[in-house]
Amino acid sequence: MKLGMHRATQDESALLADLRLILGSPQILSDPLELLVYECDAYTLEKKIPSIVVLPNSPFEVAEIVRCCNKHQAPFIPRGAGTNLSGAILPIENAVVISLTRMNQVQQVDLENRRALVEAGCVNIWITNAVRSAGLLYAPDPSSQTACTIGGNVATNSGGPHTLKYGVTTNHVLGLEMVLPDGEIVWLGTTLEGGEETGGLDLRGAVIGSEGMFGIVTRVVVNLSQIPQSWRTLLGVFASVDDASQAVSDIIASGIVPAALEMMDQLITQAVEAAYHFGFPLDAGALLIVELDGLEEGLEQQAMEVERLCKANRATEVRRARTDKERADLWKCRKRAFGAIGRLSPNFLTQDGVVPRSKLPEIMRFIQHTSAEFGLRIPNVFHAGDGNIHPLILYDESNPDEVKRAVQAGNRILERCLELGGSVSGEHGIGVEKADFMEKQFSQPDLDAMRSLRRMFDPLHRCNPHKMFPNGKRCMDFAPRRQISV
Amino acid sequence: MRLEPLTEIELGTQLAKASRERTPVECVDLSHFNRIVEHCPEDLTATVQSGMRLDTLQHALGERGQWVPLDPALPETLTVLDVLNHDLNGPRRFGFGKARDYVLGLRVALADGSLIRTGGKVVKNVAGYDLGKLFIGAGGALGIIVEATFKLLPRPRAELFFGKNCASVDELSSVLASLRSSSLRPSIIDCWRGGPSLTSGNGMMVVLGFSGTEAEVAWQAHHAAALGFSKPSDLSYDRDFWISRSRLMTRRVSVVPTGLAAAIAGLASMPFLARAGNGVLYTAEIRDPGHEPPSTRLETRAKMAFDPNHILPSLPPLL
Repeated sequence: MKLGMHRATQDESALLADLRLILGSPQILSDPLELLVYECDAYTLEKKIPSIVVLPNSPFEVAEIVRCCNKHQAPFIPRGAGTNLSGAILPIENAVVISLTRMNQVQQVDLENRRALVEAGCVNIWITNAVRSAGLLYAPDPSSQTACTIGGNVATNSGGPHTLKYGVTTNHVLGLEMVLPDGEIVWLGTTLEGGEETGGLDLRGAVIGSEGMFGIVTRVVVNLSQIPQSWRTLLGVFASVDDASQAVSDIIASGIVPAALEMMDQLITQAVEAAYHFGFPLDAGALLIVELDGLEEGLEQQAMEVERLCKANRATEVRRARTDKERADLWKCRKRAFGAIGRLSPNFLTQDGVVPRSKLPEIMRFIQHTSAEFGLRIPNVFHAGDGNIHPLILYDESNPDEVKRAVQAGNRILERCLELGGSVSGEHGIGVEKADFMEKQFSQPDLDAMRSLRRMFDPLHRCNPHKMFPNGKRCMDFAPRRQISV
Repeated sequence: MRLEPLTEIELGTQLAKASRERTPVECVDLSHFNRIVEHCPEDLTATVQSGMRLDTLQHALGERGQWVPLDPALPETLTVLDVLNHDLNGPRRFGFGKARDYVLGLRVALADGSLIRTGGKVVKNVAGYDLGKLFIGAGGALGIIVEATFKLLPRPRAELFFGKNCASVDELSSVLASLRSSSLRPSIIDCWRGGPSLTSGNGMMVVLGFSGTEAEVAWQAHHAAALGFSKPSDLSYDRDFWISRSRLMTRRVSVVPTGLAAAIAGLASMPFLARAGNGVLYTAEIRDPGHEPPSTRLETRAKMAFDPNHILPSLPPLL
């Protein structure tokens, strides 16, 4: 089997020996076949098999591992479920991957104060599962919420369809425990028993979204929200993406704040329908999912207003989810949309640009134009209410020219997002994928300030190195590799 | 040293000079930075210079039926910079959150005179580190915020406020518990004692507020009455509390919401104002810096990284 596998060097053998003093042997993976799982995250254009993966059971073990890595001058990378879409956990430089998946418990719940203490490896939806019977939920709901971990959510400041009204991870994390890159364990922000104000600097806020580059987050105190009393979930059927985009703008401008406002274009709708058989109209140019929630009182008037605005923008039909099951099925289809892409193409590259909401029609037209120009199909399923697009650029990795065109098309779309006053990432993060875009979105002084902050947490750049910042070294040493099939 | 720049560039030059000469900056007058740079009603965003008065900003946004959902008392005495530097908020904090929930991007003059941007002007953005969180509430210790982009909300179509007297801490405790277990979604759960409108020594007033559509607010008002909140109230207690106090010197206590009644019991009959839903308590006492914990190692490192010559104010106190 030709896998381009890494053979342990002398240094790594010494590191392994020291790690074995801290951890039991099932907690250390160094067999190349076992390591294969960790060669990438959901961004599959670049891959690298790590030399060692460790599976700690406690913050203390994490601290010991970090100190051990420091002793051997080895870089280390925190990893949750690996659902990241930007290569933020690519194990560059033979880094030791610290997988938090064994630290996955909801440790304590304080229902009265609506908080929970959870371990970093806890899967997002498990928190809601643990408190749903008390009428509570954990609000951020990334599409990968049945797999992704809270630690990963903290690293990328994850969003999801319902963040339009409820905000993203940073709005729902009160405090966190982190192992600093020198091995010290610190608590930043509110503890489970503490008041929500702590004074001082908001280091908690600085860590959220730092893509695992400031330390290893081990435990998190999250804020729980009340489950809305009622919902109205509408499905607007439009002849074109343009009409649906205009309806989005009109709904926002009307003063209604929907819980979610999601769009699917025709190509993705067809794939989703083929995979999940929901009953979506296959001839529609675009579908708009609008969810309103809150108190039952007054909700119907808002739903009727949304219906009116959809029809004013030439919606051919506005359906309603009539039962909880229909609503759940609709969301399941939306959240598993990426999973249906396999029917269309062997590979896809998803982008995560953001534009001011009013520029949505313009960026959607640009994507259609880009699709034609590069000869690649680009279905779209995205958070329309936030202006957060997710064009899915389809390619076949066995065709090198197509791979190249896919990357170019993605870059072109992101550049256009910046020209329209937006951002290259709304929720997926920069990772290795978009590092070169940082200089386009930010000035050198902006990037220098970010680097200062990183140095403050990690002066030696040991924690998740070569991410976020443009780095010429990466291009030479870490060229994209083809997927290894076993 | 007092800075009164006319432009960002001038501010940068003055800061760079102060840094070189290690001259502490005692005061920065940003009264020339007083305009709305951009208001995009259709995007629900606005970029404003930080020297702008909060009430002027809210008035301008209000003309399009929008606002920054931050409501510290006496907005006519506050600039956007005050709000951001000291993370100020008001009664509606329970329902609407704090400054960090609404700031999308900042423009900041650093101690060395360089001008940086953090975040952006779109409502969702994870590109780069979230430096903005550090500058908000930092009291100017890490840099001087000159411009901020806010996420806006439509102004609530209706609001109603109700009060209920509580004679004892035990009664307060049970009233707050009944609110927590109710199906109401208040935007305000405040509690206060003292001031012109309450006479009894230990009597306290709990204030409940609702914001939203007419139907939402009316339904909640009806259900609040069943919990004893039927007396119409206003928010003048908040203004009365702050009108004679320095926000920076007022003692602040933060506990879990269920611990609030116990914290109030410890005050004997002293006047106070509490964001009861959040567990935050402002007392009539003056803050005692001698009893505050020292800044953490990481905070000190942040200060060293952004203001190595210590020309800007000290780090904000830990509670």
